[in-house]
Formats: sequence, C-alpha cells, structure tokens
Amino acid sequence: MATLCAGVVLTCLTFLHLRWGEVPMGTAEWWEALCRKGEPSALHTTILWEVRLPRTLTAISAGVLLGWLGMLLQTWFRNPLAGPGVLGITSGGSLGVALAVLTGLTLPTWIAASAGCLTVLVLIAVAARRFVSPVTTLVFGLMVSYAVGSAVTLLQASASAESLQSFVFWGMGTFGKATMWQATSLGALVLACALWMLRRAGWLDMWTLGEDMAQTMGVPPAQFQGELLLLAGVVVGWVTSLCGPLAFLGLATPHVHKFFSKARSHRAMMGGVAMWGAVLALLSDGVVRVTDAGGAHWPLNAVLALFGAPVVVAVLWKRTHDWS
Amino acid sequence: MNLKASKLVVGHSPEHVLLGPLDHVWKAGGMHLLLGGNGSGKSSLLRTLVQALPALSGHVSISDGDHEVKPEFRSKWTKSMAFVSSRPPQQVGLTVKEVWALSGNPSDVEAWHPDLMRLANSRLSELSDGQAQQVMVARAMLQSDRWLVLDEPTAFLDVKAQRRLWQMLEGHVARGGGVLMATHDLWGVERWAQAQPEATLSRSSLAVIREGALGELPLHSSKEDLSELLA
Repeated sequence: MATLCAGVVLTCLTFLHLRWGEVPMGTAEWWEALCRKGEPSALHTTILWEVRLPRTLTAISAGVLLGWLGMLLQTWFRNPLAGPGVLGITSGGSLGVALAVLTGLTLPTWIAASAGCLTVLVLIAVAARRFVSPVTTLVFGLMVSYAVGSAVTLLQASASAESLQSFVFWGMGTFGKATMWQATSLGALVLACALWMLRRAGWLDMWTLGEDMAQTMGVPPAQFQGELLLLAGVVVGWVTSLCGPLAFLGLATPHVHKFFSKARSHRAMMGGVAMWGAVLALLSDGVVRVTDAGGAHWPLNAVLALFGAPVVVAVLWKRTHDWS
Repeated sequence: MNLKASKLVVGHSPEHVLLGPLDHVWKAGGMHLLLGGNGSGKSSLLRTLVQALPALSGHVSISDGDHEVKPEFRSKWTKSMAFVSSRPPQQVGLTVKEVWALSGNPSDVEAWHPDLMRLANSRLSELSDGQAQQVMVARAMLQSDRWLVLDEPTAFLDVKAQRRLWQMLEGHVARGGGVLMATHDLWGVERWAQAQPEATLSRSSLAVIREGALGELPLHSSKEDLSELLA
C-alpha cells in the first residue's frame, strides 16, 4: 500500500520535473517536444532531451541505486547505520577524484572514483573479518572516512584555484551534470543491480541470520562478499563520479521504507526501497531546482542532509529499539 | 548416514590447537551429547564439523559405506547437515515463515510441532528466545533430514522451552536423523536417557571433551555423577 503511494508520488514528481523548468512551455509544445512529433521547436527539444530528461533519469537512478546500496550494506554489516557515506566508501571516491582533479592526473572521473571506493571497501571488508562486532567495523569505517577526508583537505590546500573550484563544485553534488548516455548507463546499472539482488535474494535473507548460520545454510561467504564488494564499489564509484559524493540517501532510504512497510525479505523490500530512493532524490532535486530558479543555488548535498536528517530522526523516534 | 571425523584437528591457528587429531563416528539415528567446560573446544569442534570454522587438518564426511557426502559438494552437504547456534539470531525482521522458506517447505513443520505454526506470521525479532530457538531448530530440520548439530541450544531457555526443544530433537532421531548437541543441561541428559528405548540408546552416545580429546561416558550416568565429573 505504502509502496503504491510512493509509486504515485514518484510518477507525479517525474511529471513535474519534466514539465516544469525555467523555460516555460505550453502543454502542447511540451508534449510535441517530448514525443518528438509534429514540429517541436529545437530549443524545447534540446531542453527536454538534453537537460530535463537526463537530470530526472539521473536523479531517479541514483536514488534507487543508493537506496539499494544502503539496504545491502546494512544487511552485509548487520548494522542499521551502515551506508556508503558512513562507511567512508563515498569519501574514498572523493579521494580518488581529488587525486585525479587536483593533481592533474588525466584519469576519467569515474575510474578515479570507482578505484577510490573499491580501495576503501576492500579495507573495510578485510577489517570486518577481523572485528567481531559490527560496531567496531563501523567505527573503523568512520576513522577511514576521517583519514581520507583529511587527505582530501591536504590535497586541496596545495591545489590550484581553478582545479580547487571544480572539485568543490563536484563535492556539492548535483544530478544536473550527467549527459543522456551517462544517465542511461545509470539506468543500466539499476537493471544489473536488480538482477543481482533477485538472484541473491535468498543469500541476502540468510545473511541476516548471522554469518555462521548463512554459511551452514549454503551461502559461500567469500563469493557472496566478493560479489557484494564489487557491486558496491562499481555502483558508488559510478554514482559518485557523476553526481558527487551524495550524503545520506543510502543510509536513510531503507529506514524510510521500513517505516512504511512491514515486509523485511529482500525480494519484498527491493521495490519499496527503490521507490523511496527515487522519491527522496527527486524531492531534493526539486528543491535544488526551485532555489536555482530563484537565484539562491542550494547545493544538492546540503538539501539532502537538511531534509533527510529530520526524516531519519522522525523515523528512529518511532522505533526506539527494534532495528530489524 | 553416519557423521565421520577423520584425523580432524580443531583450532583457530596451528599454534593454538584445541582438539585432535580426532577419529570418530557418530551413528545415524542416535542422539549424541557433548559435555565439557567453557573453553574446552566444544563450540569449535561443532563449528568445524558444520564448516563454519575451517579445520586445521583432516576431514569431515557423512557416509553409509556406499555413499559419501563431502562438504565440498555444497548443495548436497547443506541438505545433510544443519546447524543451530546457542542463541537465536537477534533483530531479524523476517517472519518465521520466511525463515523456514529459506530452508524448505514451511508447512512441513506442522507434522513435527503443530504449535509452532501459530507463530508463522510473526517476525523472528518479536519472539521470545525460547520460541525463536524452537523456530530455528524447526528450520534446521527443514534444511537437513540427516544431521542436526546444535551448540548449547537450550542455554538461554526456560524449563518449558527446554523440554519442547528436547522433544523436537527426539522426534528427529526417531525419524532416523542424527543429532549432535553440546549441552550443559545435565538434568535434560539424565531425563532423556531414562526415557529412551534400548535401540535408540545403542546408536547414541555421551562424551566429554577434556584436554583436547573426546572421552566416552556411560549413557545412564546420573546428573550428580556428570556434574562431579565436570567440576
């Protein structure tokens, strides 16, 4: 039911995002440009197909991917506070990009970000095997995050003003930089991620019962964690390189979904988490676009935290002890 | 099919061997009880047998002479060997039915423990430890109709829940399955041994782990004798 509502909201938001913009269009013109039939104006077609559509698709895909990733990481570490941001994975991506942008390496951003994310993930996965408690793992992730953060600061301190500026802008996060093919590639990643989760839904559910239990139930731990690691690294890397280091979405989305829905098996949660991830991303980007139009230019990351934090607090307020 | 350990060495590292080399056969259709103080290596032995802890050396297999199931054949192995830990998993939001469905057909539980079916739509996290542990034993029975390995499954349970759990295991043994269980429940051991027919007892065993080796004890030991022995 709640997922259905989220679906309706998502549809409305998608429509608004495509329909509304700084350049006004009549309904008929808009429709012609969207369907590319009749004789749409070149300006309108360009705006729809090269600005609004990629931006909307990027927001939806990134929201879905980060929501799923939050869910997967929370399952993997059996910790409700896990998420790409908290575990330092996103900052790993930042470091990668900082190294590439600030030191002038001619490396595509997505490779730099993915490499950074994967490095941190491997670090955390190795550490998680050693630490008995998931809380320790989380603290470790936070420490990695701080250390990586200060490495980025050091790089910034010695960078040129020009590269510094481009890095700072990247760090604020945006859904608006991706081209149509990049947005489509995010969509493809959503599909790949969905297929993997459907295939491994049983393993994921078993993993929630504990590592020993999962292992004796037939989950090969090395293979399972290897696949998760690769998936998380590629997804966070790709999203981070296109949209910047997005705070919050990954951690918050599963909790928002769990607040509205009772189902806890991964197969049942996939749809809802995806919906809420996309809704939260579109809502935040809506605020960004409205402030952009008003000349205030709020960065996406600020909006995400500003609106996301109270939502998560509200959710947690209602569930004082049951983390499941 | 019997559970067999061959030259099995148990421990966390070669410098810190807990047990072995161990050659032992646990007979199918029997209840095998394992005693031993904290830190004796009971849990490590069980976790090694179910492959949650890698053996330092040696092998584990399930065989009846003609057929042999080895842990390397993961899907066959998991159908012959299931594990129950001392504490049911905490903070699991899956429903009982969903947990069972991971290992088999949930409606099979009806025949073993009809009362448990009432919990089918509850979340695991909403149950008491006693209820959850019975759910986990039922899950293990869905996974494997051969061997169940349990690590002090009654440690956190009250008397009533302990009795239900013993009953479930007795049922599994009566159907021809094997049970290997570490326990501190001396009272339960004594009561169980007194109630069993000779045929079951002839396939069962009681052993204690001491100084890195497995020592057999008479099945009809009284709980006073056993506590004396373990003290």
